[in-house]
Parts: sequence; structure tokens; C-alpha cells
Amino acid sequence: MENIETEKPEAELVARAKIGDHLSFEKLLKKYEVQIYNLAYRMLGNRSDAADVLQEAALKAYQALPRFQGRSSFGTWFYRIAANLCLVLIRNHKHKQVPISLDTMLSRKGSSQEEEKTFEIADWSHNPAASLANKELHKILSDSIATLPAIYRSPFVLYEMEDLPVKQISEVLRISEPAVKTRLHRSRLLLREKLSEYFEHLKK
Amino acid sequence: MVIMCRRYWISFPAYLEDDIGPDLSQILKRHLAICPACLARLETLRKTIDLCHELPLLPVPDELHRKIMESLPVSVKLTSFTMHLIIRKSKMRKREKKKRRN
Repeated sequence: MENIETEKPEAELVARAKIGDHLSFEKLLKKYEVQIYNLAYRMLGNRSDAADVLQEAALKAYQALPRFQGRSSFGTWFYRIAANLCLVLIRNHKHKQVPISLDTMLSRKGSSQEEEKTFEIADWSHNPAASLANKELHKILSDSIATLPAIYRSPFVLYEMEDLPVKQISEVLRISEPAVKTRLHRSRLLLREKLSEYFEHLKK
Repeated sequence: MVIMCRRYWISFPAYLEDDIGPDLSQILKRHLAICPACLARLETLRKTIDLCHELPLLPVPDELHRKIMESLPVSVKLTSFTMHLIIRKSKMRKREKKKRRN
């Protein structure tokens, strides 16, 4: 019975969920919840806010389903609801978003030129530890993304992890395309610095 | 050397995406050929981005999934037979509508 239910096409699940069938809605939720939870986690930087967003998005989607006309797929529609909730949260916390100057970003490693030079020569890109199989590195990278300043994190997540084009990100975040690119570039430089600190520490 | 190199660093992300003009691209290429420190910086930047793409997705905790389902407004309990009738009726309505249009 369970298998037969699972094979139902999405349109039928949506039709059933529209008239209040929790079981069908649950199947739809199961299908998309991981993607949405991860979008929220990466956009907001913590699991607690991500859980709140997934719950709120699911409730909104369930309540708005009778008005869902199917112009986009259910997944896209649900995703958009969640992305908007994330953006509202981010905008509400705008006062906490402090941009980091490039100089601050690039001059954290010691004050002497010699120290920086030594540090910069270390190429860890082929180091066997530079793999996500390395649990420590995995955690450092996840934490580094989560703790990027929100103004950098949102464009980074939308571009690198959600594959949205720059134009769409500029519309979603209401900033210019060059601003999206600048923030993207800075977020990558910041993350590289974080990983380099780890490899520098490994050498000691 | 480091101070000289600094001005190139900001262009590395765009360089990796091939999103810079040909002139700057040439300048960077020439510099990278003679500066192992900058080349290392570029390669580690490339590796950082690759690692980000490889990050696996977090699973949704079962408890959260349960909590969401429990928080949904309670609707009229529909038996599968009633559900079947409703769906069939809706499909028939759609078919009739299509016929009328034709």
C-alpha cells in the first residue's frame, strides 16, 4: 500500500493535499524538506532558525495550497516561500550586518611582511587533508560559511549552493549585480582565509 | 613582494570564473607565472570553492518533521474512498470544461 502511495504523481499529491489530505502533504514535504532546510540553514547560519523557517514555510504552503495554481512546480513554489522567509529574517537583522573591508580580510596573519609571505606560499590544495572526508575540515568549512557576515553569506549560498544566476540574486536581495559579484568574491576570499588558517595550524 | 601582490588578490575570484577583461587576465597570468605565493593563493581559493560545492546536505531531524505535521491545521478526516470520489469528480469537471472549450 505504502509503495503504491509513494508512486503517485506529484500533481495528484498536490490535488489531494489541496483538499486537506495530510498524508499527501506529508509526502510532498518529505520530498522537498531537505532542500529547504539546507537552504535556510545556509542562508541563516544556524539550525534553529532553519527549523523555524522550514516549519513556517510548510504551514504557509499548506494554508496557501488551495490558491496554488500550478504555474510553477510545487517544489519551486514551496522553495520560493522558504527563500522569502529567509530574506525577511535577514533584512530584519540588517543592523547586525557589518561589511568587512578587504584590508581587514587580507591582513589578519601577523603583522610582518615576512610572516605573511611565508604563510602565502603554503599551497594546501593538494594536501590529502584538504578533503571533506577530513571531519575537522568539514566542520571548519561548514562553520565558516555559517558565520560569514549575512551580507556575504546570502549571495554566496544562492550562487554557489543554490545555483541562482547573479541577475536573479540581485533581484532577490535587492542589490545591484556588481554588488552581488563583489560580495561573492569577498565571501570566497574570506572562506579561503579560514581554511588556510586551519592548514597553517596543522603545520605547527 | 606581498604588498605588490595584494592588489592582484581581489581579482582572483573573478579570474577563476573567467569574468575579467583580457588585459587584466594577461597581467594576472604573467604575474602567476613568476609568483609561487600568488599561485598558491589562487589554487587554494579554487580548492576552497570546490570543497563548498562538495558539502553534503544536512538531514531534517525526524522530530522536526513530526512537529511540522502535528502543527498543520486539522482538516476533516477523509477516508481514501471519499478522497477517490473527490479526485474523480474534479477530473470529470476538468474534462467537461475541456470539452466545452472545444
